[in-house]
Amino acid sequence: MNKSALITLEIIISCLVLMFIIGTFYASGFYYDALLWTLLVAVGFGALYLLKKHNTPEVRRVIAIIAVIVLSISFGTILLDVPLLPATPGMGFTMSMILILLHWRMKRQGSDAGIQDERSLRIGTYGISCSWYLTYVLVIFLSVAISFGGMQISANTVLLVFIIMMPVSTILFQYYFNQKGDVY
Amino acid sequence: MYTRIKELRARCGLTQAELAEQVGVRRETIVFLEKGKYNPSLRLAIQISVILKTPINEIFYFDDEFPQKDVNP
Repeated sequence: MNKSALITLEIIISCLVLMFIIGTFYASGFYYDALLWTLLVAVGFGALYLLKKHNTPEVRRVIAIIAVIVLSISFGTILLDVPLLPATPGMGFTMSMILILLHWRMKRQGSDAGIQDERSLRIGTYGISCSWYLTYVLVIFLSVAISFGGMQISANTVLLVFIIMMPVSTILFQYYFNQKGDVY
Repeated sequence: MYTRIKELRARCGLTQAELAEQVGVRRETIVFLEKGKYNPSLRLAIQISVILKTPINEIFYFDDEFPQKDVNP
């Protein structure tokens, strides 16, 4: 893909994300939590996109700064007696941890990190597969524990566990296979 | 799996980075190939064999094999 096509694609993706955020905000009846959650998800996707396309020191710095800002907002909201945005702390911590992990991972990558060779593709795919299996096992465990064990857990907690576990376990599996050399 | 990539690469006067660039993979991949920790695809194996000017069966061999230097079809 040439540079102008890439820029067009980036503009289209940005417009779609913006439309989605505004749409969610309106659809939720101007509920600020929905706006914040969507914004944070958009930031996460943006960081992942940057990781794939432009792995430079400047981009790494931007991701680190965003992580620190989100973390600061999370701490700030926790300190308030009545949080203005109740979803901020949990979501903020999750997103900042993901951003910090991404930053750390980008920093470790060398100059040829942009090359998607067969080994990195294989490790990437296998890491995601393992993470999927782990999530599936956890879903089964939770369903058994809730149905038969009488476990009581809120939907928010379950969602938060999955939001944290899926990307973190993917990164850890990929790191493990990368150190090992191959997936077998 | 064992490989003679390191030896043959040195003979051709190539660095790991140069070989990686020529076959279109990351330097890490060459490192793990040389350690015998990564099984390459057939395409990559052929590319390496072309660049190192050596038949595949003289570059890669498995634990139960000896280097097949005298293989005649």
